[in-house]
Amino acid sequence: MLRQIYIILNDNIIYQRNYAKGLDDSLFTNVYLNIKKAAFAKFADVIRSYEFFEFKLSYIVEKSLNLIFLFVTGLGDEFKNIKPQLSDFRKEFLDFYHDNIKENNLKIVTEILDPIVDNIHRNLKPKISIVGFSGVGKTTTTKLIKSEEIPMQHIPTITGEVATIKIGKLHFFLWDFAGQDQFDFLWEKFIRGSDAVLLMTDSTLENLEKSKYFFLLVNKEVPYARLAVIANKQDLPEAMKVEDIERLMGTKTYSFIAIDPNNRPKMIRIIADLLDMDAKVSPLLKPIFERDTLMDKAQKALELGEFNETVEIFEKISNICLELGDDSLAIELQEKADKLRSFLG
Amino acid sequence: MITKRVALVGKPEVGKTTIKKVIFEGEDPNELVLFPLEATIGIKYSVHEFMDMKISLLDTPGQSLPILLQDEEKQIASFENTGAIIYIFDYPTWITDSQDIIDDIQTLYKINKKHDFGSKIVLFLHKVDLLIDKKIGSRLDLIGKQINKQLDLPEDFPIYFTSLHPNLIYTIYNAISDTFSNFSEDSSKLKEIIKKTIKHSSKTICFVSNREGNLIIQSSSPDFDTTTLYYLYEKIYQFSKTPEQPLSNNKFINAGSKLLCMIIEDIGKFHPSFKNLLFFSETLKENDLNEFINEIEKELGQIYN
Ligand SMILES: Nc1nc2c(ncn2[C@@H]2O[C@H](COP(=O)(O)OP(=O)(O)O)[C@@H](O)[C@H]2O)c(=O)[nH]1
Ligand SMILES: Nc1nc2c(ncn2[C@@H]2O[C@H](COP(=O)(O)OP(=O)(O)O)[C@@H](O)[C@H]2O)c(=O)[nH]1
Ligand SMILES: [Mg+2]
Repeated sequence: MLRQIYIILNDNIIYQRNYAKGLDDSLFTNVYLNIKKAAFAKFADVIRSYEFFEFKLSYIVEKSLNLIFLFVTGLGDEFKNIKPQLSDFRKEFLDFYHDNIKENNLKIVTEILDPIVDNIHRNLKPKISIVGFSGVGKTTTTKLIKSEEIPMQHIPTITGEVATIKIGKLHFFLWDFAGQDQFDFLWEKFIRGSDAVLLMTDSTLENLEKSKYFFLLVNKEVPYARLAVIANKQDLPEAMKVEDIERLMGTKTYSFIAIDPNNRPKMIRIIADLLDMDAKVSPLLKPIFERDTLMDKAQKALELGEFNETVEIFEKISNICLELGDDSLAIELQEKADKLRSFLG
Repeated sequence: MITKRVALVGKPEVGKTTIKKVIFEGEDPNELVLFPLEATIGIKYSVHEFMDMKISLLDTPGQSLPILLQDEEKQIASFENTGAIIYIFDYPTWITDSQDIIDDIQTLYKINKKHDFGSKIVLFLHKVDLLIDKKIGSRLDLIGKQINKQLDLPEDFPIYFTSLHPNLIYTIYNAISDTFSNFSEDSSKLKEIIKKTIKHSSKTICFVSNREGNLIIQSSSPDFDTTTLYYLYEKIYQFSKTPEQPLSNNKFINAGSKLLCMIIEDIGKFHPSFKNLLFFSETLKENDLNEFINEIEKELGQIYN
């Protein structure tokens, strides 16, 4: 998925758009200096891609103008898909601004660039795969989160369903796989390039133990994808507790009830949380943003020794976490609040 | 000054040479990751100073690992008199080829036993930056346990999780400094004192850092929740980078799923190799931890003053 876009002219960032966590300022500066050296070398390629820790950095350079277009994507994105986007973007930008750059009176109009870039994000959209054994609630979940105007497209040949989901400015690409048995051999093709994989379970011990099988497959095919367990059917009395599931699976686990229509935003938030999406892009993601801000605040208060305030913030975050379906974090924070209170006496 | 030999071994492309260049030759990790180095050809020795020692570091070419693991003469040339053999493997390979890695480590163990080298075998699971997980602390802890379980050897090896990622760079410094400091007499003495002091405490951990802010000693009660380690390293590193915000004001620290009571004392006055003594505990309060510090300082005073 496209995480960030930069346009750099004469060593200044003249345009930047963030869809998800990517390079921070200091890292960008460092990376840019290195890339610039390579990009402006005499026989260097005009368009190239480098792997940099968890990111793929791809650029196209306009040497005569000292201009670089830089895309930050995930490691799962293939350069052959990024390349045409980069080329088109450069062309569109230059068609529009070429004369202004030469005349040194460049004024970037974000209202013009943003939609173009959003379109690139659409083309390099996150791929989210929902996997799990049959009957755990994958189809119900996909139906729950798909937007009404875009119908699910059933692709019989791959016994799975594909949906594009549009929420605010975000576009998600979703697979709902059938169970394991039908298409072991197709697995690789399906899962390749996934940015996030949700392992859907029905919260029973038997199903969880069986589902560990998917972990092996996911780790093998897309080791860089972000992985979470969805503890579905939490409304049933026999459902295991989320903290216990998390401990058993060793992976971030979110509680869920797919048959409850009110849970649509919750699923979107889970996905956004998992992908470190920029919460400012969509109002639906506000709780994530709020939680992160409060986390920082709690940390500050703790460091300053303002323990009463810390307790209060911990409890606030705990409530937001419940809303997000992040039960284990909610419990953790409640425990921390209690502990701090007991120390205060 | 005593000289200790340390060998870095592992498959090609795991990052041995990059680590060496960043840690000991001060090169920029970001540049080395963007523009990777050529493969190492031939065994390379280099000598570096660390605490009260000289470390002679051996970077083995990855391509020759299978040969090294079979050829007795080469084994003796590489591992005789080494204090530590650091086996480096990376996260992507662990995911796809764990059996291969297990075989390597088991072979190293056998070689070490057979020739009676007496080297300490230490494992670095490198490139953990590629492990993107919201529960990274517990995930790493789980992987560590899983590795030792799969190795199924009479002793557990220390496993360090490392990366050259700018936000995780301390992991590699800590791993190296903790491994090397085992050869330092000063550090070993202090470690014994600490062990003795916290022997009967529960859910408590103690660290000693050096002037560079790297950890040289780590000792904990057996029931300490190791999933918090990852977060503690990060916090300690952050503090060492912002000395204007005195660590001593902090009574509590948020470490993953736990809130720990903490206390810190500057012990640089006893020896220039030491800087901070840090305690973190789930069960003990400030006063108890202060007791520990008093005891340790008393013993240090007897040794060094
Ligand atoms: N009680 C309960 N039932 C659910 C929940 N989610 C799905 N189901 C039911 O479980 C059955 C299987 O769901 P489906 O989405 O078809 O599973 P899939 O095979 O994984 O796609 C259906 O009868 C759903 O109504 C839930 O959260 N709670
Ligand atoms: N993601 C990631 N890549 C790394 C890290 N350290 C090294 N690398 C990369 O690993 C590759 C192999 O490094 P190198 O030192 O030549 O391996 P050697 O054959 O073991 O000496 C290079 O592409 C490095 O950029 C790290 O911490 N994270
Ligand atoms: Mg279905």
